[in-house]
Amino acid sequence: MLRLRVFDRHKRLWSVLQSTIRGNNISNHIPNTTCRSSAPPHLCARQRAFYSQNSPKTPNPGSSAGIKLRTRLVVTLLFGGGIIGTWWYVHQEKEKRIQMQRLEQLRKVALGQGDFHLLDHTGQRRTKRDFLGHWVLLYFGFTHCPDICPDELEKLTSVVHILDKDPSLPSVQPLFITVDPERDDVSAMARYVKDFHPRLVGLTGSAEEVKQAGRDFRVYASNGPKDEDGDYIVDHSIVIYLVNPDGLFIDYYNRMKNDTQIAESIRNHMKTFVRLFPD
Amino acid sequence: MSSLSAASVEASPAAIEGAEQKKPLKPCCACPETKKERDACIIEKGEESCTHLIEAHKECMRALGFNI
Repeated sequence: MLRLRVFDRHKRLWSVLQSTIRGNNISNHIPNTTCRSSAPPHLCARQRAFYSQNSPKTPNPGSSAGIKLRTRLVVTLLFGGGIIGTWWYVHQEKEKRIQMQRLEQLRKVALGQGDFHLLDHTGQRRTKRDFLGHWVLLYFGFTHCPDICPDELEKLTSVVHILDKDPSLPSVQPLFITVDPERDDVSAMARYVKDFHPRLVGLTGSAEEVKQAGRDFRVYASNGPKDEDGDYIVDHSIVIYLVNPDGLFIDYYNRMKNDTQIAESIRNHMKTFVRLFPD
Repeated sequence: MSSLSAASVEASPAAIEGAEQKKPLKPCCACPETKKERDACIIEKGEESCTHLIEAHKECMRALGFNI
């Protein structure tokens, strides 16, 4: 009987103890484990590290936005480049087409292959051969006042001045051939040309010689009827001709072109020029 | 220089007076549209192929009072 009582008491004690231990484990599991496994400072450090690791993860969406931004920039640049490239290609094609059309036109024209034999404003005989090896700008007009429109010769002078400013270009020889040889003799031409470019050469001659020169360049010139004073108008085409160093007609410019446009066109011709008849 | 300048000054009023007395417009500057078409045609096709444009320009000039 006494033995039974003692055993019973012991059993109760054990049960209580066991229950206490379990409760402690549940409530203090984490701190217990951390304290025992390592020193608190280390544990605190680890926890902080873990938290700091979380910090960079937080801006993950930001990082994605950055990537998207870069992609957007690349796409924008490619798109813009494509647009610019397309525009440049179309522009180049247009320029080429215009140039080819122009060359086709000029090929049909095929002017200025003949020669001329005229007197210059100093009375010397000149032929087209005298100007071979030089770029020539040629204008057909007449000097008689007051029915004179020297705008084209002023323009011609201005073109020559513009081209003279560029030392990389060969010099241009301006020529003025009269379509009115009856009144424009050597002395009249000499008086007239000095008002324009110092290199301007005036050319005149007999009616037949002048007519031949004009015909060669398809110049239209028509003397009107004379009035009471014996005065008459010469209606003529207004064209400036460009002749290359081989003596071949290569381009022409009408009233609509200004001096800058003409100078630019001539510059282009000079740069693309290849001599057909090398010495 | 002075002689050139003087010549220039002399020539200028003379030209102006002449223009004013005779005609209000210089013939080479009249009818720019018909003239332009005619000149381009003659250059590229030859005078023989452009008679209609030559006549058109003449008619324009005559309409302005030029004796041509």
